[in-house]
Amino acid sequence: MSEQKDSTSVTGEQHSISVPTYLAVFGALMVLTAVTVVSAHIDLGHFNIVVALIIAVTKATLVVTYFMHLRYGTNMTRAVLISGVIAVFLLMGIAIDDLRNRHTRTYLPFIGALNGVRPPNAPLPPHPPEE
Amino acid sequence: MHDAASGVVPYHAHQFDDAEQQYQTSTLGMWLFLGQEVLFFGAVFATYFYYFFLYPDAFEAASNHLSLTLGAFNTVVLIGSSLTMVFAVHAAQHGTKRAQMAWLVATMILGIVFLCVKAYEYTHKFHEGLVPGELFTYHGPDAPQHQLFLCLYFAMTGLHALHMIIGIGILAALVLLANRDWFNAGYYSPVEMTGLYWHFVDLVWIFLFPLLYLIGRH
Repeated sequence: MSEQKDSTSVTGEQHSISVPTYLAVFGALMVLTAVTVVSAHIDLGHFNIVVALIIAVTKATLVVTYFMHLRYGTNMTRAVLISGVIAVFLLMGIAIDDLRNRHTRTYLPFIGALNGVRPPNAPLPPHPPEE
Repeated sequence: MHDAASGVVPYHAHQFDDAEQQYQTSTLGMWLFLGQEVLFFGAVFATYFYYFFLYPDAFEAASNHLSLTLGAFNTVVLIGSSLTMVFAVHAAQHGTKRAQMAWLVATMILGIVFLCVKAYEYTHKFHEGLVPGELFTYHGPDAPQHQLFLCLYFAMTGLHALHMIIGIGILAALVLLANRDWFNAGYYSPVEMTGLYWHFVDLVWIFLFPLLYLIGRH
């Protein structure tokens, strides 16, 4: 933003990506959608979610780079996005690390006790298991 | 494009040096908003992963309550709407007012198609007794965990749908403004910023689709 633009700088052209590029990106996104649906049917156990996430991150990168024009964005806009993503990773990482070190189960209102353990004074689950 | 030949004079407010600086300022402001949207959705995604790590098998089983066909259809519709949105921005930069309005309306229509499919899916969940709370009637194995998954399903897709409804409202406003010749090749920031918002909503769905619809298909 602070960089000095010479008088020939053009607002329009600089951020413009050609229509064939947009169509190619759209095609790639469609192909990746098909790949993620097909790969979901292959049994990889719990690694299916990992494969799905890798494909989703690839698609997200395409959208951010071309559709959202970050390819031509300033480093400042990139820094904003990256810091947001890092913050989310911190949140997930710390929460899941906490989970690894925990042996109690969680009680949620309306859902009841998961794994049958209820904290003291908690109301009964709304749907006691039948039979 | 403020070349003399096209006769377009870019408009910029008095606090900016030039149209380029004004454009970069709106872009940064929009990305700051989207950055906090990443945090907003990130918290819900963190909740999802937390419980996925606790109950991976139950979550994978519960995922099969959702219709893969409808989810995949909506993915195609939403990515298609992102394409029409970039064409709307492109038309604002280079094309005619008519083309710009047409692409904006096309984006709105695709957004509405997405929401209609979503509404159909929600209705179906009510009929099947898969809505968490009083209406939940599934009593198979891991019923509480299934209910938890569906809680997350409604929270995540509900927040996403809310963003889409807001986006469609903004698109409607843009169509009206475009009709009054607000935008030209030298000033089209509102169209570009709405595009960023719309693509972000698409981005959220790109992650929601595999996490909700695909994890249990194997």
